Amino acid sequence: MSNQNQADNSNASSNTVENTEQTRRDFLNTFGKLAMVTPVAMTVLMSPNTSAAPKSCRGNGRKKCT
Amino acid sequence: MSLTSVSLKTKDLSLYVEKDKGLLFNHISCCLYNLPAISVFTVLLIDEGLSKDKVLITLKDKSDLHIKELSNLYWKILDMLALQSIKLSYADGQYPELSTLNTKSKSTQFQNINNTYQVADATFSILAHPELLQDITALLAPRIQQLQSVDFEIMITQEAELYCIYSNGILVEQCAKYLEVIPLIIDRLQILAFQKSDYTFCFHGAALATPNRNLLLPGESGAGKSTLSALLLDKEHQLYSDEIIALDDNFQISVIPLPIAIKSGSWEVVTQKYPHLAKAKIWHRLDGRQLKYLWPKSFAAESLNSKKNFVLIHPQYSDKQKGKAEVTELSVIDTISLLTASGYQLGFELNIENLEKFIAFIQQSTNLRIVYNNSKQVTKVLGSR
Repeated sequence: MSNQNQADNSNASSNTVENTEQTRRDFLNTFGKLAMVTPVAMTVLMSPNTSAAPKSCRGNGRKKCT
Repeated sequence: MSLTSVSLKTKDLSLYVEKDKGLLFNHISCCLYNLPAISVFTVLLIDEGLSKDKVLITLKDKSDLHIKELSNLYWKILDMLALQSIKLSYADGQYPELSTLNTKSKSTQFQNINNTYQVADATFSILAHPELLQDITALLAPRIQQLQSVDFEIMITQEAELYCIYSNGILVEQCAKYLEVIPLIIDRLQILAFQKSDYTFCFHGAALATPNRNLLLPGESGAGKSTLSALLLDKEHQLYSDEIIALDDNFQISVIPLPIAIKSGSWEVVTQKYPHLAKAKIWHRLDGRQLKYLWPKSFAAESLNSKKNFVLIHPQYSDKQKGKAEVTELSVIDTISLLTASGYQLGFELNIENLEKFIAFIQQSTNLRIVYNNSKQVTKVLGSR
């Protein structure tokens, strides 16, 4: 690899890191503003603890029907 | 705003954001979380390496919540971010008789049972007292196959005023009433049929094929998915299953040919299309709800699956919905929340590769919430998209 190429790659890599940092900072600002107006509740969508055959009894696999 | 991946400094965590929500996947615990904005913000602050006090001061600056609530939130999120594995695996919910698949010819007790049944790739033989066996045979007549050996030998006995259901010799269900037995059997057949298949994702809901699309109707029991499926069925709409959306690793849907369970609240409207439902026998679920079973004229063929677009509908029946159906586009995060909230099972351990494959599948699907009063309103919505 030529020195010029190495320098180009190094610049590209540092640009990518900067872009990633900037994107994260942007989201930090955006979600900082949104944090004021949203509820705290968060939910587990998928977990080894909640994976179970879906059932038609009310509870649908998360609670037993009996 | 579409779903966007946010690169985190912490390895083994993946964050996606969409509008004012976030999805967080912990690669070590294999758990996926739905986060409101304040939780996404907290995750980003912790990921920046801020101390607890600095995180709380920043949160207090942005939120009206009491410091105690914010502290609770901080600890909950820290718990969620912990890079610790969970002892259970996604595959632990398999029914026990799957590990004792019957590979021999019929057991002695089942020698005189002539009727065997096939549901997808799973085969069954059922032994019960004559009255119950007659009801089972009548209901499952379309699935009768003459087989020399079966995967599951199901025996129903009556012991001390309880009906006991054994599957390959394992006691798997008990109920007090005769009328509760059949729904338990149908549910078990359904679950064993998908668990024996090569499923990767399974969700609670109905799945139908139309000429151009696959229609998925996920929803909790009572949401109206079976009713809507029964009303939609015609030459253009054929059923894969009314209870189980089982997808393989290419997102092909399994056909699970069993009767549709119509709950009592829908008998009147469904009987208008299927008059013979009026005379169908009434069965009870363990939670007390009454239902009747209805066989569709035919089921979708597996070959209908290939290269179809998916339309995912969250149906909500409302007798007040006059004129047009009310249609709302669902975000990717809301769609995943809806799919999993209704009950789900995975056939593999969730990792980042198959999660991203699943997210891509949801992103390519049309995801709608439809409040409807009759099936014509729904077909009109589908026709316009």
